[in-house]
Amino acid sequence: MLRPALAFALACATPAGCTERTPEPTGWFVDVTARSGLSFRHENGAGGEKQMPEIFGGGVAVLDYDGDGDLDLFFAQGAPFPGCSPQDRDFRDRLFRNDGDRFTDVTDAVGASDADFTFSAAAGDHDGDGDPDLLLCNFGGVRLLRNDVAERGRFTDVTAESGLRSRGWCQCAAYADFDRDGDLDLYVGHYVVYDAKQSEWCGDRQRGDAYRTYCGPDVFSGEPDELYRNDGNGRFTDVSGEIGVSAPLGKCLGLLIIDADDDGDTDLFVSNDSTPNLLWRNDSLPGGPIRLTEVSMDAGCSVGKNGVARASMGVDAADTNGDGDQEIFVTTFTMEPNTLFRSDGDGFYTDWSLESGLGEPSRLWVGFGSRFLDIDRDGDEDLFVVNGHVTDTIELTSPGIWYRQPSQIFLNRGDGRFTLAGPEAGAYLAERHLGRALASWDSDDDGDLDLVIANNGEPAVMLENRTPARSGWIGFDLRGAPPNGAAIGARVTLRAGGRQQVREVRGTCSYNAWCDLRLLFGVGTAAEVEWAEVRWPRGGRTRLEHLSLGRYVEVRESP
Amino acid sequence: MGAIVAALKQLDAALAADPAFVDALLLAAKLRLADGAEYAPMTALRHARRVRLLEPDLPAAIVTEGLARFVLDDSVRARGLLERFLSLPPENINPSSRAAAEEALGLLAARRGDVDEAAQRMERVLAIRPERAQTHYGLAVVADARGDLVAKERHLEAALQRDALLLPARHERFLLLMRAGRHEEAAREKRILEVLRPLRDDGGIMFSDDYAGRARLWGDLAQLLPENLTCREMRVRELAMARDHGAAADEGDAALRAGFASIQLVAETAFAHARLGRAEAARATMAHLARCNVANGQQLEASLQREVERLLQLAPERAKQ
Repeated sequence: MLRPALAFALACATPAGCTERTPEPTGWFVDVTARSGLSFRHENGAGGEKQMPEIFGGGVAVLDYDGDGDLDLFFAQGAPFPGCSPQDRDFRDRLFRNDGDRFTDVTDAVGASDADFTFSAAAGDHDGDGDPDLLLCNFGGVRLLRNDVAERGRFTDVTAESGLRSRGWCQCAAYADFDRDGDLDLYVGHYVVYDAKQSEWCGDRQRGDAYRTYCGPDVFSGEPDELYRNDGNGRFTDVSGEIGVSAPLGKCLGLLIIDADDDGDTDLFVSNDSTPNLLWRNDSLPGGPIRLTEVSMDAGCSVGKNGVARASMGVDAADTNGDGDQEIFVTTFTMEPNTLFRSDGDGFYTDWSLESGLGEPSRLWVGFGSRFLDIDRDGDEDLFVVNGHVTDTIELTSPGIWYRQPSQIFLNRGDGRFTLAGPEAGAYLAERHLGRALASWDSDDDGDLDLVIANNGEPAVMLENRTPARSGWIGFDLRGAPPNGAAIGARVTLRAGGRQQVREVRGTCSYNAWCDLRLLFGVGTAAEVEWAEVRWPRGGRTRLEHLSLGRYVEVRESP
Repeated sequence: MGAIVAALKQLDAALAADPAFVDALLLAAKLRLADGAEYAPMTALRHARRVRLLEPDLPAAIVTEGLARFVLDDSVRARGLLERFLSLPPENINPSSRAAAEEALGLLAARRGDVDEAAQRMERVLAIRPERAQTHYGLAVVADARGDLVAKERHLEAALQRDALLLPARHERFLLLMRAGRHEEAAREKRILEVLRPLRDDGGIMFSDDYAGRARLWGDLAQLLPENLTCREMRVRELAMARDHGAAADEGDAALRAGFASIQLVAETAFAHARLGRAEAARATMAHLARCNVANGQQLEASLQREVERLLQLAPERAKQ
């Protein structure tokens, strides 16, 4: 069989009628960035002093900021460090409006940017007025941009009056209704105590400046996380001290909202870089004060099987083995396996990294953004991981370890064990990047999840999911009762084709990302969904039966 | 630990002069696969690969590459190499390497769910190395894979009896107790882990210059594990590194009075006294060497005595500084 290019050349050997075409790319995920009109390049602000924030990239948020029914994209941007020449480089965060067939940069028009080094954005509706706001997590603090687009055409900086007083290295944030009073509380994850004016020299000094590289987290102390209670009027109160979240000095790089103990409320997993992870079990009573208890060690998900903390970065969860409980997956550093904490029920976890098949193929890579998604819609969740090292001299000091690294797809065999996908996954998987944030979204409402990747110091990438549609699907667009209109914390359980599946609406996503909040299920060869049950954040339930496939079902919470 | 660093320095120098020095490559690989500050499995693999390029069928090279790939989770190639090694004529395989290969293959079998093979291999390891804590930990892993929690606990106990500071075994025992609802026992294990982990975790205090901090942690651990000699040894050592020679001497004396004795404990205590100019105490401490099982006893004792005298001579100078 002739290769496409040669076949085309021969076919066009006769004149007239032949127009030059690029062969259509194949594979499960196809890079459609150029075609989409999306143009964003992350700038890490490097000025030669190897400032640690430069390695962490910027994030991406998927949100419908203008309420027109389609999803827009926000990209977090770095800022110049001393020594960085900002000329000809765009250091603005960027908001792109989805116009159907193209993306339009509306950043300046709506004021969706700040001048700080932004790691991530959380697009929760903090004031419960029905539109997503933007909480920017910056090096130096947070900034809350209230979405006033409908009223005034712009975002408004309401940080000062919001009660948010974060300072230091704010890496990421998660929204959840911890006290089940209806509005969204806020957890801000902090990384390390870092002074950009006093950059450390790390690397192999004896070999000279060419071997200077970025310092690791061990050089710095952890910075305490914060918890803010939403007081219901767009204002927050810092309850970090009374709850105790500021006590463990971890080095947070990822947050996961999850009902880990299946008791109907929202717990929080914190992935910490080289210090033990945290699992804050929610012991709050509805409407009462927030009470969180740190149980990671007791639960078995604080450290790996060998008893040692790993460099934990991106985090996601899914019921990978169909037993009704959600496993927790965390990306890690080279020489460490990406970690899968298998849920054993009753709030206990087992490090199943190597047994699952997810640990071994990750040994040479540094993983960041990760998302579970049913790529082939067969009813079990597969996994997409973006990789990229942080040590820019790694190829000098450790031959065999790459600086720019390829992404990986892991296919679920159906029993919670995974195999690494090959070239059929698409050309992008063979490319090498400094992968960081990964957001999933159904950009074309065709029932499969597409991806947006924000690489460090590189252009953003849009991957369209073109897996052959052999199986059925159903999606749920949950509309919670105000002020939590996005139903963050809600869980959908369904049964189809003899298999039960569960998904949750999470007020955070993997690493430095905010994803499409709709819940998508592949159902294999099932003809319908036998039943689906929504468990709302405040405890109410909605049951639906005999649902037809191939569509999004809008479900509204009864007031 | 210092001996390994020194050895690797010599080996690296030898390899710089002769990159094809097979014995040096193999020894450097072996040392870089051992737990500790010099753990560098990628480098160990490169050394082993180099030997295999030079002598493809050398048994030591095959098993070394296999073990390097095992710790790097390259399970398919590790399995192939280690099985090939074990199929060699027995006279070409030393017991220690055989045990290491069987153990790695056993753990790989447990990982993929082949519990029968895992159990058989671990029994063979037990027959060769019954006193090694890691062997019993491996048996615990296999028992866990079989779902036999009673056996798992038994093997974890056996591992911890041989090495109370084996972190993976402590961690697994804690989790087992938690899940069994034995909260009091679990609470004690948790306290031990909270102290032990930073001393064993290279993300924590382990490689920092905070000798005083490490000394404190070893002291806490000694209280939790009152029968453990290593805790006492390490506390004295870290106090000495922190230049708190008075405390080092006091701690050492207390440990010796309590019945603990090892070359390291005796030597560090004697050195501490010597650094303070306490000649009588230093020399009296050296008498405890008689309680230690010392290979090359006279030679070692003479060497340590010389060091004590050297420190005593320096002591007045230090006092002036």
